[in-house]
Amino acid sequence: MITIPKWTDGPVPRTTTARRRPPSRALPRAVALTVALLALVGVAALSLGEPTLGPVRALGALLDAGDPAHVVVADVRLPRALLGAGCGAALAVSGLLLQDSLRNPVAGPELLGVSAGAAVVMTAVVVLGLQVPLALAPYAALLGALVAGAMVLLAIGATRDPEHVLLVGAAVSAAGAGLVVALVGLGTEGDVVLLFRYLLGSLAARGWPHLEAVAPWIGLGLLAAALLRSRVATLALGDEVATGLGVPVVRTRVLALVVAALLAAASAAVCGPVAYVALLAPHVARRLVGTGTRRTFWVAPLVGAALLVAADLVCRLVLYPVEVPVGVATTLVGVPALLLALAGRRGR
Amino acid sequence: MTASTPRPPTPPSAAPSIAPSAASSAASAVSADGAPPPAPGPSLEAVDLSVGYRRDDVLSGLSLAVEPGTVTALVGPNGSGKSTLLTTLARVQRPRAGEVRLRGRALGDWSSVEVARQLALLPQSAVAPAGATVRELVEQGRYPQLGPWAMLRRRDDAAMERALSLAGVGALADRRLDSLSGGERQRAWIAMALAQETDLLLLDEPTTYLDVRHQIDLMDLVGRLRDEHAMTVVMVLHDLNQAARYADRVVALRGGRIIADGPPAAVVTAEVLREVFEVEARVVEDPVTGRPLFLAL
Amino acid sequence: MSALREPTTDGAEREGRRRPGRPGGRSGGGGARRPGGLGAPAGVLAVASAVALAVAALVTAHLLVGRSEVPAREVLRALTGGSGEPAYDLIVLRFRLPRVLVGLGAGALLALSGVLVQSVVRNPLAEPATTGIGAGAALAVVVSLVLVPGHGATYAVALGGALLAGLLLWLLGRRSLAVTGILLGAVLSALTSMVLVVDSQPMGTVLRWLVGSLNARTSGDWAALWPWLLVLPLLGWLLAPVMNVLALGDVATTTLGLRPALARGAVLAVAVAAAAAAIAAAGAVAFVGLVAPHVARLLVGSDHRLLVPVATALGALLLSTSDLLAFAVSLDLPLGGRSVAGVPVGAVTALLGAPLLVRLVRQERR
Repeated sequence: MITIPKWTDGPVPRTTTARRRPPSRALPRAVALTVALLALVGVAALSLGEPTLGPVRALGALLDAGDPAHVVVADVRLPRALLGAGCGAALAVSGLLLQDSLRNPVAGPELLGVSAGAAVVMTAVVVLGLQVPLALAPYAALLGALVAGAMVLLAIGATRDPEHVLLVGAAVSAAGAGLVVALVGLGTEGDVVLLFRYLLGSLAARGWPHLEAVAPWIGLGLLAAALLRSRVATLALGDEVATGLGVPVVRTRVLALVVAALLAAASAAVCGPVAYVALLAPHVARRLVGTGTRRTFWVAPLVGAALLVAADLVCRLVLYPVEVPVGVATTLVGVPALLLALAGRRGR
Repeated sequence: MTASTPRPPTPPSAAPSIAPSAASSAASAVSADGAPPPAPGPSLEAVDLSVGYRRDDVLSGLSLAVEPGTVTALVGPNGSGKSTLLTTLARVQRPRAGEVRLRGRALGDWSSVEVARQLALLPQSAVAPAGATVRELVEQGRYPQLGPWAMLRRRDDAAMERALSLAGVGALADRRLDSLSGGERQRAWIAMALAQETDLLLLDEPTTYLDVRHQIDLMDLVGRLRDEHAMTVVMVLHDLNQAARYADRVVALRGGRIIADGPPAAVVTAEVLREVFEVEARVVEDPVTGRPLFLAL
Repeated sequence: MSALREPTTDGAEREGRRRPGRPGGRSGGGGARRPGGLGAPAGVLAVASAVALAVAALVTAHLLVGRSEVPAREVLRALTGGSGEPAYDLIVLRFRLPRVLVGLGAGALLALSGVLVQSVVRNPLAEPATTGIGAGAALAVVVSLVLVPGHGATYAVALGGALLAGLLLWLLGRRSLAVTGILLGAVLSALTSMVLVVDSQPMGTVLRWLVGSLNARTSGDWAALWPWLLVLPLLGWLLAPVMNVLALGDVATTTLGLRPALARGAVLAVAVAAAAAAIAAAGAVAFVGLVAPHVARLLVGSDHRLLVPVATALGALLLSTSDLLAFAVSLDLPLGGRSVAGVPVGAVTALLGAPLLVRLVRQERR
C-alpha cells in the first residue's frame, strides 16, 4: 500500500550548499558542546564555595568517604547540582513543548501562569502545614499548574500573537504572586526564605530527598516528551499541515501541554518557579541546531541544565554568605535574552 | 502512534510494482512503455459528501471521483465550498454525512499516518516556525515514514534531497524561509509535501500571492509531477484561465454543489461562467495552448 | 472632616454632570456601539445614580464593619462633628473612612490608567499592575528603607519610584509597550528581592506594594491621594476624543490631523501618573485595571467619552468591594487578631479576577 512513485527511486541529487553544515552533523556537535559545558559547570559547582577545593580534590573527596570535605561535596553540593541539572532540563523541555505546540516563541511555564499556579499550591502546603509527603508534592504542584495553565490557555484561545499571550500570562502570574504573598503573610511573620522560594525559586538547602522525590517525575516527563517530539514538531507548521501529515492534532497538543505542565510542576515543587530558563533554553537550542523539535529536544535540556546549575552557582557565591535566590539570576539574564529573541522575530 | 497503530497487512514499501495501487501500476507502466494502461478505479473519491460549519452546510451531497494520474482543478466563486472540499478530501475536516474513499476504502478505515503516506496536502494557511530553514521544513514531510524513535535514516535523507531538487529549491536548502521570496517559499512548501512521497497531492490555491513568472513555474511543476512521476494532483485555483490551461479536468462549484465537471473545453463556456460566477464572458481559444480562454465582457 | 467627605460626593456629582454634557455619542468616533449600550441621557442618569447608590452602600458598610463594635449612631455622630467618645472618632475618622476613600480613589485611578494604557498599546489586555510601575514603587521603598531605616515618607518614595518606572517604560517601550512593561516588572522585582536578601527588615512594609493592600490606610494616605483624583480623571476624559482617533491606527490618526507619537505620549503620561498615584497608595493591585475597562466596554461600547467615566466608576467600586471582602475574611481568620496585616486586597482581586478575565476575554472575542 505504501507506494513510491518512480522518481523516488532515482539518484539522489547533490543539493547541499557549502554555506552551512548539514544539520545531521550540527546535532552531534551541539550535543557534545553542551555536554562539555554541563560537565564544566558541574565540576565548578562541586569545587567552589566554602571551602573552595580544586577540581581534582573535589572529585577525589566525592569518592573518598574519609576525606573531611566528603560531606560537603557528596551530600550538599552534588545533590544540589544534580537537582539543578534535573530541574533545568525539565524546565527547558517544558518550554520547548509549549513553544512548539502553541507556535508561540514566548510560551513558557513562567509566562503562561503554570509556574505561578504550582507555586501557589506549594506555598499553601507549606504555610498551612498540610500533611503532604515530599514524594507526593509534585502531584499537588501539578494540580495548581494545570489550573493556572488551563486558565491562561482558555483566555488566549486560538491566538498566536505573542503579546496577547504575554499579557494574559502576566495577569494570571500576578494573581498567583498575589496569592503567594498573601499566604506567606498568614504564616510565620517575615518568612523571607519561604517567600523567595515560592516567588522566585531557589535551590538553597536542597538535598538527596528532594532529588529522589522529583527524579521519577522528571524522568517520566522527559521520556514522554521524547516520544512526542516528532509529532510536536509537525504542530509547528500549523494544524492543517499537521493533520495532513497524519498527526492527531488536538490529542497531541493536549498531551504536550500536560507533559509540559508536569515537568514545570515537578521543578516548581522542589525549587519554586525559577523563571526564564524554560523560555531561554529552547531559543539557545534553536540557535545551535536550527528549528524542529525532533533535534532541539536533544540539546534544549542540556542547555537548561547547564544554565540552571551555573545560575545557582553564581547565586551561591556572589553575596556569600547570603544566598541570592536563583530566580533573580535567571530573570536578570533571561529578560534581556528574551527581548533579543523577540526583536529578532520582529526584524523579519 | 506511528508504532502502536495496528496496520492492515500491506506489501512492503520497497516493492512498489506489486502494490495494488492504480497510480503505482500506472507509474511502472509509464516507465515500461510510456502508455499507461486503463486505471482500475479512482484513487480518491467523495461519496455523497455533506460538510458544514455549525448549522450551515457548505457542501451538500457532493460526489466526485478523482482519476489517477490526472490534474484536477476545483474552481468556483468565494464561498462555493471548493477549499472545504479539498480539506475534507484530505481528512482535515470531517464530513457530516457521506464519506471520502482512498483507493476504494473509507478514510476512517485507514490510520491517519497511512493516509499521510499516500496523500499530501498543502493548505493555504501554512505557517513556518520563525527561523526555520527550507531543509528543516522539508524534513517534517518525512513524519509519516518515521519510526517510533523518530530518527532520520539514510532513506529519508535521499527522499528529502529528491523532493528539494524536484521542487527546484535544492540550492536554497539551507536558507531561512523568512529570507525567501513568496515564490521560493511556496516551492519549499511543495518540497515538504513531495518529501511525503505520496501519489496524491492536494494544493489549496498554490498560486495566490505569486507573481506571473512564479505562477507559470509552479504550474509547470504540477504538469511535470503528473507526466514524469505519475502523480495525481487536485488543486483549488482562483484563476479560471489558469485552471483551463493546466488542468486535465475542471470541476466548477457553486453553493456546495458541482455545477459543471469535465475537460476544460466543456467547463469553461459562456453558460457555465454565467451560472457559476455570474459574469458575462466570451470564451475564445488560447492561441498558444489551444485551451479555452475567457474574456469578461 | 467635611473636607474628607466632599471629594467623594463631588466625584460622584462630577460623573453625573459630565455625561449628559457630552456631544451625542452615537455619532462619535470609531467605537462599535453595542445595540443594548447606554447612549440615551436616561440610561446615563440611571448608571450615575446606580454608581452613587453603590458608593453610598459601600461607604456605609466599610464604616460599620470592623474589629471593634461601633454603633451606627456613633458613626453618624463622629462624621457630623464629633461624638462624645474620642475612641469612636479616632476609629471612624482616622481608620475606617480613609480606608474606604483610598480604596475608591485608588480603584478609580487604576481603572482609568487601564483604559488609557489599553488605548496606547491598542491591546485590551494591558493593565497598569503588570507594567512594572508597581515593581518600581516597591523597589524604591525597599532601597529607601535599607538606606534610611524606619523613615516615614514611604508614600512619597513609592510615588517617585512608580513615576521613574513609568518614565523607564516610556523610554524603553517604543515598539512594544506591553511586553516591555512585563519584562521591566520582572527585572525590577528581581532587584527588589536581591535587596531584601541582603536586608529583610523592610519586608513587612514592602508587601503592600508587591501585592496591593488597603490594610491600615490612614487619613494621611487619603490626603496624599485626593489631589490626583481631582486632576487625572478630568484629563483622561479630555483625552477621550484623542483615544477614539488613536484606536483607528497610526495612518488614520495622521490623516485626521493628529501626530500619533505626540497623542500617545500625552495619553501615556496621564496613564503613568494615574497608575503611580494609585499604586503608591494601594500597591499594584492586579486585575482592577483590566476587569473594570472590560466590563465598561461590555456596558457602553468602545467610545472613550463614555468608557473613561464608566470604567473609572466601576474601578472604584470594584477595588472597594474587594477590600471589604478581604477585610471581612481577615476578621474571621484565626491569626487575624495578632497583626494588622490581614488578607491583602490584591489576593482577593486575584482570586476573583483571573476567572473573570478568562470569561471576559472570550466573550469579547465573539
